[in-house]
Amino acid sequence: MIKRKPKEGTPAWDKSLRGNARFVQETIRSVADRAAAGEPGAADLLARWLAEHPEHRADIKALDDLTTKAVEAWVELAGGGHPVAEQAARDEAAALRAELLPPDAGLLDRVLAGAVVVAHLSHAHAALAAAAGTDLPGVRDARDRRLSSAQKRLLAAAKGLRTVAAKKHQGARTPQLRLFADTGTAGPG
Amino acid sequence: MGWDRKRRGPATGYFYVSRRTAAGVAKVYMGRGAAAQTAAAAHEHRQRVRQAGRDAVRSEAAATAEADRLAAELHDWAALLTRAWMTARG
Repeated sequence: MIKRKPKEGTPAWDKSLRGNARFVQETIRSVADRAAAGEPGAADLLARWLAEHPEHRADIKALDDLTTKAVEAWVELAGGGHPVAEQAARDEAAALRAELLPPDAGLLDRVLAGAVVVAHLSHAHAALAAAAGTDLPGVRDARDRRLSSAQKRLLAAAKGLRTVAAKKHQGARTPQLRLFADTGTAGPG
Repeated sequence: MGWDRKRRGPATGYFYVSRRTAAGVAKVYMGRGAAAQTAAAAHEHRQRVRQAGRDAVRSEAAATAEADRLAAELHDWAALLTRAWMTARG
């Protein structure tokens, strides 16, 4: 028997969205964009939505899994098939993560720290590749482009982490958002 | 660039190379003798090297494709949640 998708707008459809990480992401993005554009009430709407929908916490918590997978994928590449090198990369990633996480790390902190760790690993990999010699046409340019892209991502990730840490340090009002307040597991490393 | 086989004449045809001139790209006749053979061999070598380069680029990209995808997804989430947090805090 073919399972049909529920009709858009029905309660069944609404229920089906609760397990959809893409829906959560697009909702947050949409409202955040509207708030950033200065739409009156959009910022409050976002805060309310995040506070009133703890059922989406599971979708956001899945980010811990995403972080673990992303770190592990780059650790494997860094190891290049050698278990000892792979473990060294894993240990380095864990140490960096521990350094970046505040004592009371919540979900946002874990995601931001994870993004920096992954960006660091991918940058290191790209730098190593770019440093390797080659006579083949196009390969050097491709490696340089990859390194440049990895550098930008690392800078952006570090900036994001620093921005949030600075705002928290200023003692500014931290929104009581249940979605962000989860202290969760220790995560990868 | 390559062997140009005519309806009449030798089965191998004649070898031409393409050269850039001020007026555009021109076909330069090389014949079918030793000079043509040398030019053809050099041309084939360049083609193999270029193809090896394309293969290497593709292979390196494929090796990191999944890791890149995961990194990009995590990066997007990090940026989005940061923006949402900053917006919600006012």
